Amino acid sequence: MMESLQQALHFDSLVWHWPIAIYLFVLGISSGAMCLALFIKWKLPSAEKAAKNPLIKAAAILVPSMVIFGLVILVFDLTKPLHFWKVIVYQFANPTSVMGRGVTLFIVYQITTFAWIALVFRKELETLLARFMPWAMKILGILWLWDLIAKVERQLEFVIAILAVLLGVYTGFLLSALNSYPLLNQPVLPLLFLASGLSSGIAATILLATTFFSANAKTSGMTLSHRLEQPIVWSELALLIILIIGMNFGGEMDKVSIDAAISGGFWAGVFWVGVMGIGILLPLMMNQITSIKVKHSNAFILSSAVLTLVGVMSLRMFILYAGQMTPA
Amino acid sequence: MRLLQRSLIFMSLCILCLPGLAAGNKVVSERNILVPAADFEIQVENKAEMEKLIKENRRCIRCHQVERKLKKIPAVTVQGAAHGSEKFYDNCTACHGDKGKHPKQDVSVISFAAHSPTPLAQQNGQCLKCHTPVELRKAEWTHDVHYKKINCASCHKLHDAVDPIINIERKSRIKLCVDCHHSINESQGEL
Amino acid sequence: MDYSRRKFLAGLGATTMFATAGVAGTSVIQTLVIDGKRYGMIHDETLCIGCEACVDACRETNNVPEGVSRLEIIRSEPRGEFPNADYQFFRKSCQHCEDAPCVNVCPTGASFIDKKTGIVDVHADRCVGCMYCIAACPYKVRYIDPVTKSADKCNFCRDTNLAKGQLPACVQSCPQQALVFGDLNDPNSEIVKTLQQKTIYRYKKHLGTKPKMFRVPDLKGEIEL
Ligand code: SF4
Ligand code: SF4
Ligand code: SF4
Repeated sequence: MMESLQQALHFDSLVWHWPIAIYLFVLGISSGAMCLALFIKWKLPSAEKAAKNPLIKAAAILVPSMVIFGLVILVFDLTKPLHFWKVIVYQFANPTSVMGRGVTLFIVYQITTFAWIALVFRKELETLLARFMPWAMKILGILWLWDLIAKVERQLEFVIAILAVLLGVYTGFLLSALNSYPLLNQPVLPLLFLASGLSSGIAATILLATTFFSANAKTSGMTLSHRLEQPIVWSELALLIILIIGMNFGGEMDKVSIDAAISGGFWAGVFWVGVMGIGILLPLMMNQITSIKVKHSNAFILSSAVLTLVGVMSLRMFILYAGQMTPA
Repeated sequence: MRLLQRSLIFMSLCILCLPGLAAGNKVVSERNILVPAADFEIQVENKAEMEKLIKENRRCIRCHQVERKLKKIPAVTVQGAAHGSEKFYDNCTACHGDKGKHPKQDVSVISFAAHSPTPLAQQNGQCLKCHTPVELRKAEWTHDVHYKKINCASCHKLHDAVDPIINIERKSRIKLCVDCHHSINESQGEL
Repeated sequence: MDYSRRKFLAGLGATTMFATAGVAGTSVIQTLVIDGKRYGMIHDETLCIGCEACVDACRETNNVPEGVSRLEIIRSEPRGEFPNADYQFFRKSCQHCEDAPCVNVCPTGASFIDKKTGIVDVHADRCVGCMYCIAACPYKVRYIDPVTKSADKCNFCRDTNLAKGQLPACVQSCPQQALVFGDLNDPNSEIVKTLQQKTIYRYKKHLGTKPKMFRVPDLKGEIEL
C-alpha cells in the first residue's frame, strides 16, 4: 500500500504536481461562484437588494479571493517565483500560449469582477470609505468612476459572464493543450472542467453563505442554486462517460491511457470512489431518496456541498495525475 | 508533507530490512553476482580426481613459480586472486586444462590471449563452464555482444590480485569502448 | 520510464512508424522554408554501440550539471539468446521539432525556435520555470537546470561548439560515426545525402511535431508484427 501510494504520487512522466490541481480547483470555484452570483442577481425579485443576499455576498468573497489564492499557488510553484512578473510583462510574446492567454484573462477578470463587486456593494463600500478614508472619496474621483460603471452595468455583467465561462474552460484547455499525454489531450476536458467548476462554485458559495451569512433553504437564490446543480452534475456524468467511451474509440495510446487510469491502481480508486461515488452518484442519490423536509435542512445542504467539493477536487487530482501517467 | 512522506519511506525501509538483518547480516556485494554458486568444488567428484588435480597443478607450479627466462614468461602467482585457490593448489588446471604434452606442444594447454593458439570459442568456453550467461548479462550487458567476437582475457586479468576491469570508472570504460571500436573501424573490421 | 521504454520498443518494430526511405527526407526538405539553415541530426541505430561517449561529451561541453542530462542513450532489453543476443539503442534528446509543442505552450516566449538555424532553444533568463514546456514535450527531454532553475535541453550545442564553428560535441565524440549533423536545406550536405540513402524513421511523428531528429532503425533479429 505504502509502495503503491509512493508510485501513484511520484512517477517519471509526472511534471505537474498537486499544487496545479489545487490551482485548477480554486479557479473553477471562482468561475462557478461568479456565474451563480450573476444568475441569482438576474433572477432576484426587484424589491430585494443583491447586496443583502447571502449567496451573492459569499460569491463576492470567493470570486476574487480564489483567483488570488490560485495565482499565489502558481507563483510559488514556479521554479523561479521571484521572476513571476515576466509572465505579465512578456505575456504577449507568444500569442498562442494557453497559459499566456490565461494570464491576460486573469487580469481582465480580476478588474471586471472587482468593478462589479464595487457596484453591487456600493452602499456598503461608501459607508466604509466615508468612515475610514473620507479623503479618498474626494481625491480619487471614485464617485465618478462608480457612476460610470453603473451606467454600463448590464454590459459589464454580460462581459463578466463570458469571462467566467472562459476561466472555467481555461482550466481544461491548460491541460488539453498537452498532446504529450493522451488522457489530457481530450476535447471534452474544457467542458468537463467548466461543468465541474460550476458545481464546485455553487457548492462553495452555498457552504460559505450557510456558515457565515446564515443562509438557509428559504434564502432567495437557494432553490435556484439547487435547480442548477442537478443538470450540471448530470452533464458532468455524461461528459465523463463520453470521455471514457470516446477514448476507447481512439488510437492505441488513448486506449492504453484510459485503461491505465480507471481500471486498477490508486488513481482508479480516486476516480471510482472520489469522482464518481462521492462527487456524482452520492449527491444524485441523496437528492432522489430524501424528502423535501430533509432537503431543506442545513445539514443536508452543507453535506451535499462538501461532497461535491470533495468530488471536484478528486476529479482535478485524478485528471492531473492519471493523465500524466501515460505519455503519448 | 515532505517530512511525513520521508518518515513513511524510512519506516517501510526499516521493515523491509529486518528480515535481512535477521538472516545474519550478510552483505551482498555486486561482485558476488559473478561468483558461481557451485564454486571450485565442481571440478572434482571424488578423492581420486582430487589427487590427480593436485598432481597436475604441482607440475604447473614447479616450473611457473619462477620466471621462464628462455621464453621470457614471468613467474605466475594466483594466490589471493579470485580464481586462485590454495585448496586446489593454485587451481591452474581449472582453466588451463591438463598439462598434456606441454611445453613440448603448446596447444595441449589452453591459453588465454588474443594471439593464443587456443581458438577463441574454446578460450571463452572455459569461462562459460562456471559463469552462466545470466550472471554475465547481469554483471555487464556488453558480455552479450562481445562473447563471440573477442576473448575474455582481452579485458579480464585473472592472475592479478584484482581484475582491473572490474569496477572500472565510467570515463575509462567509455574510453575503452571508443578506442577499441575506433581501431576496429580504422582497420575495417580486422582486429 | 519502464512503461514508455517498452512502448518504444514495441513501436520500433511496427511498420507504421517508418517513413519510406529517402522520400520523407526529401519531402520535408522541399516543403519547409525557414530563412537560413535548418539543422537536423541522424542517429544511425545500426552503427551505434551504446558506448555513451556522446552522453559524456555533451555533459562536459555544455556544462550540464549532474542529475540531469541533455542526451541519454537508452538500451533495449536483449534481443535473442546468448551468445547471439544484441541490443537496440535509442537516442533520447531534443528532436528540434519544427512544430514544437514546448515552444507553442511557453507563456513568456522563453522557449523559441531560432530562425537562423531552426534550432529550438531556451532564453534562460526569460524562463520563469512554470514547467509547461516540460509537460508539453512528447519526447520528455526537457528538465529544470538545478543551477539556473530554468528549463533546458539539447540545443545542438548552439552556444558552445556550433558557435565556435565546430560540430556538436556528441557528433565529434562518436567512435562509430553513428551521428550525422547538418543543414537540411543544403542538398549537398552529408545529412541530406544520408537521408536519401538510408531507411529512416522519426519518433512519434504522428503527433505532428515534425521532429528533425532522424533515426536509422536497427531491425536485425526479430521484427514484431
Ligand atoms: S523534442 Fe521536446 S523539447 Fe525538443 S523541440 Fe520537440 S517538444 Fe521541444
Ligand atoms: S548536440 Fe550538443 S547539446 Fe545536443 S546532445 Fe549533442 S552534445 Fe548535447
Ligand atoms: S557515441 Fe555514438 S556509438 Fe556511442 S552511444 Fe553515442 S551515438 Fe552510439
